[in-house]
Amino acid sequence: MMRRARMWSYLAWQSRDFVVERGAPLLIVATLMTFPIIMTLRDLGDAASPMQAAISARYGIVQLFAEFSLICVLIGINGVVSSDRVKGYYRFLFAKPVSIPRYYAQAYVVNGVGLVFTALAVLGAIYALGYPVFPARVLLMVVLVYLSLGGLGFFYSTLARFDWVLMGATWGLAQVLRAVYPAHESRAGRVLDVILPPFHQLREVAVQLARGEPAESRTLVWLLAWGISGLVLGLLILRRRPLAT
Amino acid sequence: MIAFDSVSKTYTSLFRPPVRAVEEFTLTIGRGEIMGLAGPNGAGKSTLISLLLGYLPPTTGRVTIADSAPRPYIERHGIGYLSELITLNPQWTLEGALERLAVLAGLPATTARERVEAVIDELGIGEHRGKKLKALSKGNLQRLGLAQALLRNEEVLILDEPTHGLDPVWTQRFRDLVQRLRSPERTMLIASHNLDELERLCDRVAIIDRGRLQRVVDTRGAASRDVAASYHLTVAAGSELVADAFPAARSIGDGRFEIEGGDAAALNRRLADFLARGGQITALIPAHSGLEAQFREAVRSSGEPSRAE
Repeated sequence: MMRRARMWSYLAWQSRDFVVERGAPLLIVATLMTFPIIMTLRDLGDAASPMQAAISARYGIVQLFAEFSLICVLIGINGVVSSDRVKGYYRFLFAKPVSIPRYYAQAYVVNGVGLVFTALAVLGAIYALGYPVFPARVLLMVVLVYLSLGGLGFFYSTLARFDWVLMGATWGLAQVLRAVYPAHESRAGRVLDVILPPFHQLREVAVQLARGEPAESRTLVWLLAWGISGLVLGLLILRRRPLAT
Repeated sequence: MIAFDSVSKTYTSLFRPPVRAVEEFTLTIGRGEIMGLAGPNGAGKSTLISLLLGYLPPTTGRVTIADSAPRPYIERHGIGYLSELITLNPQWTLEGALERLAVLAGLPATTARERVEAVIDELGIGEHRGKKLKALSKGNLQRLGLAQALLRNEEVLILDEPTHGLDPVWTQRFRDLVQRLRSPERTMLIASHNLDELERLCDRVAIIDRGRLQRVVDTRGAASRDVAASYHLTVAAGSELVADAFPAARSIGDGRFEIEGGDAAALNRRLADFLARGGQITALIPAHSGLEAQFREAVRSSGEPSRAE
């Protein structure tokens, strides 16, 4: 009798897992990062004209999200696959008629959507408690960072236990190599500039998106390509590589 | 239904020498058969089960379920599986865990709730339904593990140490349950250290040691056999006469002896001889089942202690 799992029905459980497992750290980070901004924005109305105040508020929120989206994505993607492997949860889950790549692809989507809702909640809190502006474009920053950096995190999570360490190492190594071999100085530098993940430009592109400015399309595509390639490679690994070690 | 064809599994590591967990293992389990898997610690039982679930790839050889590789089969049909350790998120509640696993088992929404209630009732874990798994005792966790394996009428059931942590009452209920689950359409593999249990429940028992299949013992009808391989004889009088009636007897202290069984006629003749000489018997208890004797012999003949699970 063939009867596969109803993965759509499992969405609710994965959403619940996102809230239970990642909700607390996200809440702490959001509170710590947003509180100073809210306090600053509360006083803004008295010190500037409404137009200047709105511009300043938007600027402050974009700056906040440039950092916040990075930290959120690290929390949102950390251990997405590796946690189940390390703790052995996979043994029961995948004795059921479940496609392993489909299960984790859905978890990736759920976590991404969860981060967007988290960002929405932060924007709502700033609107209600700080200053009444709602620059919805900052959500694009979260989406971009999740698709690019989150894709790489997903890939590492299919490979190793300490996926966040590998993400940090990749980031750091790319920075060091770019510093040692600048693109404009040598052929090696130019090659490395193409090969290495362009995460050094992530913040800049994300801020451009948030401000509604035209982002450099080559860099944007390159960032998304890195992330999506990581996700696809991760899914292929899940298809080919057994979960036990 | 299930076939291991010359399967070997070697664990490799950068910093340690390779470990051969399974070597040239060949075994076929027919549809409707209940197969036992016995072996000392580290014999390779868990590795075999991981290979069967597709969680590990064989180094050489082939594992199939219904002529299909394990993962494609499981992703299409699912199997009932009870792991030796209940590795489920300790933050989940018992009922929540079953509801999730019912969804993953592909049960239609209309029957999922019904099946969850049915297995909760069957395994007697209703009073713990709201508890987090971290608060459950070993026995209740084991019953949860069994419950989730029974959510759907799977054609393949793999139970790894199913009675580990169960009290005697639930151990017996588990045995009754297995008998109820026996069906020409259902194939079961039960790995256990409890040889008595395997002998009662299984059609055949594969004995492995050091990763190799040592022998396959046909246990059909074992439960109804009258004569054990050896007995513990306790005497009230005539200890000195035991050796005359039972030349191979071995004293195990306090008027107790281990004597040979195997042949009912010979056993009765010797007992009659002992009684005729004036001996008095207070107890005669089977010491080793046929399977246990085979197990001891198989493990003894396979050599030194095994190396990896």
